[in-house]
Amino acid sequence: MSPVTAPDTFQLRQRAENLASALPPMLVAAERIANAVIHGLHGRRRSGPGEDFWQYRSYSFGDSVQSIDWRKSSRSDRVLVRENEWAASHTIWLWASQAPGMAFHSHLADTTKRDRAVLLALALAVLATKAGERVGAIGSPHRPGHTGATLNRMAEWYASADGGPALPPGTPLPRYSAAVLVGDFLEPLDEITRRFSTLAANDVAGHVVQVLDPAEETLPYQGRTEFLEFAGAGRLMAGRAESLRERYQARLSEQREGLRDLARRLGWSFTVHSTGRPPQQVLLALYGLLVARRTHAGPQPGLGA
Amino acid sequence: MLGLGTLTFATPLALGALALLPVIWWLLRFNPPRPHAVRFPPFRLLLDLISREEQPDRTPWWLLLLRLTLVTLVILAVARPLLVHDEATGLTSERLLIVVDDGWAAARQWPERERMLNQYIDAAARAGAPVALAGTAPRAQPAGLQFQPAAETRERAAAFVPRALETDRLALLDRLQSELGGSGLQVVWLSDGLDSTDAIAFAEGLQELAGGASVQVVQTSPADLGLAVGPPSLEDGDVHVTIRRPSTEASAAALVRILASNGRSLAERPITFAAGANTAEEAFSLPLELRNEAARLEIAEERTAASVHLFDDLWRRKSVGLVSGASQELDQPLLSPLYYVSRALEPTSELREADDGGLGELLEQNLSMLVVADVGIIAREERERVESWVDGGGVLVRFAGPRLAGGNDDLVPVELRRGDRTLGSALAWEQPQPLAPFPETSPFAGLEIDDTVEVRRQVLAEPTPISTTRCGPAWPTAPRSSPRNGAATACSCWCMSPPMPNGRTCRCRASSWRCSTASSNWRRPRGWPQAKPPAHRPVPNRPGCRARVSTASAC
Repeated sequence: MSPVTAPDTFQLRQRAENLASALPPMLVAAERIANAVIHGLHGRRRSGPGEDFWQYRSYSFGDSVQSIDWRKSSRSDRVLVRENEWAASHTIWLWASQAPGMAFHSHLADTTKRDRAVLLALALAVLATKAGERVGAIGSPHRPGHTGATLNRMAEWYASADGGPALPPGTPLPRYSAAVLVGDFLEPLDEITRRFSTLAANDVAGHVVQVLDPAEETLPYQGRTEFLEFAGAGRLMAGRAESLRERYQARLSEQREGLRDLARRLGWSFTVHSTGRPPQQVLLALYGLLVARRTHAGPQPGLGA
Repeated sequence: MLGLGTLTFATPLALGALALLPVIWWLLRFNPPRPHAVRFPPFRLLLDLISREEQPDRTPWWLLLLRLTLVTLVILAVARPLLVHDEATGLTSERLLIVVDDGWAAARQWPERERMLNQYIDAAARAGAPVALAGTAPRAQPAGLQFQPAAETRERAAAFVPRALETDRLALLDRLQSELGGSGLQVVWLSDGLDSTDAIAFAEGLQELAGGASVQVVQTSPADLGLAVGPPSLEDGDVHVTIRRPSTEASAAALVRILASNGRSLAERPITFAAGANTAEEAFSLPLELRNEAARLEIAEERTAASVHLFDDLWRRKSVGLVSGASQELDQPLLSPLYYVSRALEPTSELREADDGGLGELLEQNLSMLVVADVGIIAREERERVESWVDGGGVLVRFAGPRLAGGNDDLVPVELRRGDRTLGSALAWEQPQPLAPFPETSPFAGLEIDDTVEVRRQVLAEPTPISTTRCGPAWPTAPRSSPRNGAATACSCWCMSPPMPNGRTCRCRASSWRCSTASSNWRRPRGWPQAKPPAHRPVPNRPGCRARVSTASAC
């Protein structure tokens, strides 16, 4: 793995760090933690490798002598072994859409959707690694990790990746992990449903963030306008673009409602973000969703417009 | 050339293309504008909304208007518009005659006139009309009137300058009628705004030349006409200045000043015209010394010749020395020979009488004239001084009397017969005679002769058979070159005596005192008889015969 050298990679990570610096480390709330040996901060409520005391039990054959709590044992007749709570880490899978359409940015916003999506993903990754959680990028060849090197690799991969699928790959994620999916999600709802269902198969808690340009929300064009497909060769002539506006907005909210429905069914959250607004807002919202206390058991209520 | 006020078009045919505007409007209206292309990620969402059959869109009205305006401007530009801010419009390619008043009155606004002239020449150049220029000021040798292309006329126009002369329009009209005479002229008259009683006749003549067509007259507005200063008069020692304005609309006040010959201002005073008055008068009171220095009277900021009056010698009081040989007659002043002389000269000159110092001292006082009344023989040393003074340009006037008749020196133009001739006495053979009228050419012309004046006594010149000549009834002109230059180039005889009655002429005689050579410069003055005067004959250069001008002569 090559060290991070590309300036844009560094810059990307730097921006993510800056964005994340306003928030405390993000310990992701997880109802179930995957059965992984990787050390983390999530207590497993069972004995195992960890730092917090869990229980004393009688020495049995096979226990290491070093594990005997001699002070405790001296008070009783039994030889007691001190066991700590098994603290494991949680894994967050991040996906920022790299589709060609994400490179769009209109006169109403000063950044592209892809920029904003990657920035959000990296900021979440920074926050999560601070709390010792493991982060991984869906679709990248790198394994998840919780170190600075992981962040570097992730930033590098995002910076170098150009073009990609408009939807996360339809491969199941590891069990009990969390997934944050950032993209514009303008694909047909059927396709999105299929992909999301696969992802959610292994009890994965998902958070969907739809990033849209202000122009995509409002259709601010006027007069005779020719709309070109972003990646393809399709073209569409609108004699009066302003006459489309209301129908388009209705169609967009229809798509959005479908997404929200889908998220609700999967127990996921759904958030909408416009690139015309600062990224802190949506980051704060995501933070709140991800660190929600366990007391709010069950599906997280979706935030969104 | 099509004219719309000050806007003209060089190629008006191109304006016909304006008729195409509705067609262009119709075409533009149904040709949709180029669409605004947008790469749009939610393309798929739009796909459901837009039917594939798109309808042609109308061009926005403002875009249509803009394009039509552009087309209109292009058509106008092709028609080559000329924005000409001048009056010289409406010229055709016919021959153009420009008559310019270039007399004194035109000088005041000459730059404006030149500009107008150039405008007309430019307009003629645009119209391709040949141009002829004519000035109304009289000329010794009028230039020919030929029509030339406007470009060549421009040089001639630049050479036009106002002259300090009165315009003679009718003379020019005669020339124009005889040289052009034809018809179909375009006539422009740049008038100076003054009607010297001939403006109407001139305008009618011009109209005839134009073949009945109208004549463009560019006239100075009455408010812009210049002021004139009349000849000043001297009353009670004050210089009375009269200024005139051509119309009551002209400026109501003028600053009049009197300048010395070196440009120093001696007096300066504003003169205001009374309302409705065309003349105004003001008296300048100047000390004698300043008045003697006055060389120029002018209206400030006027540029015409009429606004300047030059003071001539008339305005200077000359110092005149008076000498008489009759000191013993002081107790009878009315009989003094100088009595009438001083009475006559007093108003205009400063009189200096010889006191004990005698003639010599008198001559040192820069006299303009020396009057010697009834002195027979001037003492020898004094005579030499008088001679040299006369040589230097002084004027010596001798009045005859009993003493002069009794014997004279040689400071007289002719040799005089001794003893006066008395008329009307018992032994005389003639009656006293009245004076004959002065001829036109005499310096005394115009003097009214009092009938009571009778010639009773005469001093006669000695008739000399050799060189007697008729000194005509005229006043011979003064020598052409000033005696002060040192060399007189002609000899002439000033007959100062009153003309004799009965048509008799006086005789004067060339003697050793009067004549010189240089006959080639001698010109027969007007009115002289055909016979060559003796002065014309070369007189041998005798030693002692200096070139001289006789100053006074009694016949």
